[in-house]
Amino acid sequence: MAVMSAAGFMGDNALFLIDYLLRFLRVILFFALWRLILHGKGAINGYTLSTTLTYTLISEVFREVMECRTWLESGFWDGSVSMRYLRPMSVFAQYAAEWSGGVAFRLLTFSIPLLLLSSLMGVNPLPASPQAGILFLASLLLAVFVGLGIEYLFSGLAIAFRTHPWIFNRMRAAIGEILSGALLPFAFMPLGLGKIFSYLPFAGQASTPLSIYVGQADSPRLMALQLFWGVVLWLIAGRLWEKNKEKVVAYGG
Amino acid sequence: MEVKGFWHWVRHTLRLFALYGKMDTLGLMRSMGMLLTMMLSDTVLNIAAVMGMLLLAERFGGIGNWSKYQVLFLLGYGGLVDGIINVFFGYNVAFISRRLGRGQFDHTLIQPQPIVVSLLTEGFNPAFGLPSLLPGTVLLGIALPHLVLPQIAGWWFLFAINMVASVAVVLAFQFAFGSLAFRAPRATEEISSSTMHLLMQLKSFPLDGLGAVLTGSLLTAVPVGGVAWLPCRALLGMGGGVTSYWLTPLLSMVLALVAVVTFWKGLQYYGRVGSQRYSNFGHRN
Repeated sequence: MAVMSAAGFMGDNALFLIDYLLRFLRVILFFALWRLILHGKGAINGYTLSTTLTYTLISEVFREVMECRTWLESGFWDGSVSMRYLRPMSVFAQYAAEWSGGVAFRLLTFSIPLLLLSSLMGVNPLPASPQAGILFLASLLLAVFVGLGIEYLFSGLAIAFRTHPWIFNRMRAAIGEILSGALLPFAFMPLGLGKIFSYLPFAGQASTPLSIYVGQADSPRLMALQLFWGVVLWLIAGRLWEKNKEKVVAYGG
Repeated sequence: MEVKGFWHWVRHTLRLFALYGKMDTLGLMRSMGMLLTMMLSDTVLNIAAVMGMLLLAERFGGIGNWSKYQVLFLLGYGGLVDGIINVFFGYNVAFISRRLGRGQFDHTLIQPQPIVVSLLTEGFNPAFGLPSLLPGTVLLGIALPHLVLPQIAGWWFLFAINMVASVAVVLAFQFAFGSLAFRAPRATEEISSSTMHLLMQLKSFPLDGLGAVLTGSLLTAVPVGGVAWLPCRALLGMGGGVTSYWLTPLLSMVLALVAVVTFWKGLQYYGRVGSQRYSNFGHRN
């Protein structure tokens, strides 16, 4: 499934590259914004300009991995989910497998080139230390565990409330971008919001691995929190799906 | 065949606005739960869209040479542009590549009215779109009392002209890129999502200090600057001179011309090959 999904990205031709071009532009703008804001300022809560640029770069490089968007809601919308119930595999596992194929393809075709080009843009792509790099990879795996758990939970909630999964997931994506710290490091948030957000499950998706990468995290504590949220989310989501499986409604098909 | 006059189409367009407005309201009122869910989700989405920049402005007391309240004005203006597009160009009119890529444009082509009338009216959704107008309006309401605006007659008129021009910039960009779906319906069905996401995510960025090449690119090739930065600089008196008020309208006209030519050429191609794909969701039918 993952291989089929990755192959599907090529589509009829290579116009998907336009999407990558737009993403590349977005990264350049983020770099410019940080240079504008942090120019002449020293470290703020441990984050220097260089650290912040690396944080932004790695956030974009691993964006799909950390977002964990399986687009499960599309299956409810177009009715294709009904066929998936006939397969000898859990519905969510099928979507997760397809997600992994898409992610692998984008990592190869967008993330690695971006990483290689980063030095030309004056951004250091390396982790704070070799140890930080290793811990980052472990934390990234936990981020996927948490991210897929959130995706699974939100879809389950949509089924339980008999509302359109698209609405739930749209809200989740919008809130998640802020609460996860993917866009803005928690260290820069005013009014102590960063501290509060760091305890929420969304933080495990981006802020934790990214702050570990730039050497600005209490790694064992944050990774333990990731593990905790991952287990809690999967348990609740699994129960929710099991309890509400009779309520699944698909449009179209 | 009888040729209909200009005023006929104006009246026809207004009738369609009234009809679609009524349909939209009835659709939303079918269920109180749906009404509340939509309002909540749209409000949350629109607040989340500006939250990052809002937090940064609060944390650093502004961004670059923009004060905190000038940033609020920028965010409010951009939010209002987004809201107007949601209200007037919903149902995937602004996301035109979806309609083209899904083979739905045939619905528009068989209507007994000009294509432009269909595109202008089919996306009107005042009820579903209303929550998206609120955050921008609120932010402008908070920022304006704290700003010293340029002493110029007709400031609000210039504000309105620039607002319309900014909406036109977004639509022109969407249609120019979205026209790719005439030629590659599968690969570019979602290109409008990418382009809209790009514009909406970057519209709130102050582009000062980016350098001439990058700023020029962001006003032409990817006109993010025309959505909020350029008009706000002029309206806040940061742009220098009276001519600055007319830069965004001028930009919108050039981009609209590019979009019309691109769309027309795509339509010509579509007239020869048609579409082998069809999916019925995501548009007013």
